[in-house]
Amino acid sequence: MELKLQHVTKRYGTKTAVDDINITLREGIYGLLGANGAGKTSLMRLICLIQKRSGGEIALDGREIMELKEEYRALLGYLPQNFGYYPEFTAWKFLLYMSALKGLNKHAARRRIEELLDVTGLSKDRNKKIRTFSGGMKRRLGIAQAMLNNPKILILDEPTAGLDPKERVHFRNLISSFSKDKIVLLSTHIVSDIEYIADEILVMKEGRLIRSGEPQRLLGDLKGKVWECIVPFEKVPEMERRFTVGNLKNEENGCLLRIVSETCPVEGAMETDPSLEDIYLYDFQRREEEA
Amino acid sequence: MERIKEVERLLREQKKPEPEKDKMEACKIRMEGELRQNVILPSRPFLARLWETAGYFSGWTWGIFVFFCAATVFLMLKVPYENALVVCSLFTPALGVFFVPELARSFSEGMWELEQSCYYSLGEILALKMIILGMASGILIAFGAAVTRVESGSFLDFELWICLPFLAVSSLSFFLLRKIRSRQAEYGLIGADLMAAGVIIWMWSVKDELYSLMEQRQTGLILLAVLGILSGTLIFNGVQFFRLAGNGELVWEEEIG
Repeated sequence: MELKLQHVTKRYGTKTAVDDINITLREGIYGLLGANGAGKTSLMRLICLIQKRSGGEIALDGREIMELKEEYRALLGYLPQNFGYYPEFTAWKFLLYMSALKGLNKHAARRRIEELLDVTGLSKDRNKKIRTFSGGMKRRLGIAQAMLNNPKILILDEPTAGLDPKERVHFRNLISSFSKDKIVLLSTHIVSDIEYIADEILVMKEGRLIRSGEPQRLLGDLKGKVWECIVPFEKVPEMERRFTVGNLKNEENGCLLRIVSETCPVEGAMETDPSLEDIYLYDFQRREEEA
Repeated sequence: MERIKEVERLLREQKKPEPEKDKMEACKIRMEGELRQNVILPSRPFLARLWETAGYFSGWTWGIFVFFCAATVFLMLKVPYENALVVCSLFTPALGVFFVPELARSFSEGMWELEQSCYYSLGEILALKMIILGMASGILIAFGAAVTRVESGSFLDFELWICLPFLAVSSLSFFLLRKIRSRQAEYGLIGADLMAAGVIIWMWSVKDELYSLMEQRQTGLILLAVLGILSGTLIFNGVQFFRLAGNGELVWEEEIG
């Protein structure tokens, strides 16, 4: 299965939210990184046929998804960034409603809902109103609804937003366990969400795809550009002005800085292994310099 | 001939080989895998979909519908015709105010994105909702038309006191939901209802003049033309609402990201 995006563009009046995106997605987990307003949500909405694109093509195995329509939507599972629910809905009724929209017959739906409530740890809360759920429970319910039709394409928009660290780890493992034989596109601005589970990382900024590749390859690209050094406390503001500082930790003899820079930032700085967060910072710093 | 018989006998004696258990299991797993790979598009009868959609309407919507039905029957049976007509004419705009927001619930409750990404998309859901609410309103309006025709001997009362406020407020409600695109639209609807009620009260205060005006052929035609225009506006606003919703352009209170 191959989902191919060619020159995909979305404009809202004069603002270009998605600008000439070209990517090919195959089975695997794709992490879509970008700051707020980078165009991640707009891109996902275009892939899910929620909004009409201004230009370009999206084809599933060579067939335009706008033509496939419900045939395509039958393969789709989507978790929006902020999803609502009708106030009178319990978890069970919500999932029953969603399965009706996904075309599942009631018998199959009930069986599937039981399974998914079990997997997402919501079995006990099935008859509780969704408005009484915590943020984490709502997100788990969200992924349960996305998985109802056993989708081949799973699109998750900021699935970990607003979750505490424990819930984020739980959610990450849940996504990982669901991802077999699927195209999973997961957007986030928290690098650690996708660091361990993504097969490929896509970085977006201002509507454009500025970098993509396997995490290891991306990390290799940054080899020799990440430094650690201890500087006196009074020098920290100046260092922050001059370089991209990824991390800052107070030590007894000064401040330990993690710096992303093409060259050694200060004498005595030690080269260190890059992380995905460094790639993200590096790209954003480079783009700002270019601008 | 004997040779053929011999072959037939040998064939009859042949027994079907017993399938091996592990091969059966492997075959079952392979078939299940193939089934999972194939997209089996759901198909459900239209009436079943209609029934299902009606089941997910808010309890308030159905409660209000039942209340309207019961109130109309009670008024027509127990209250003098003119008094009943006054109350019905004041209730009629509220019909649009209560029913139209049910269509916008996907947006006001933030369900539109989920619904749009499903096999039966938002456009289809809205179409089904429009049919159901259209039928519910139709039942009430047809009942009003029948009663006014029987009681007054003409459709004038129906046109003036039921049809006119219903069409005006329903059309305005669609317009407000399409243009305001936030919870403020609901306050707008209440405002529209109160405004319509005010106009109706004023119309009742000049009832005699209105009736004498309506007796003239020209004014009667003007009323019909106004009703025609309002029907057209209702259809236009409904279609525009439907089109924007289907294209994902009817986003409520949200930033572009």
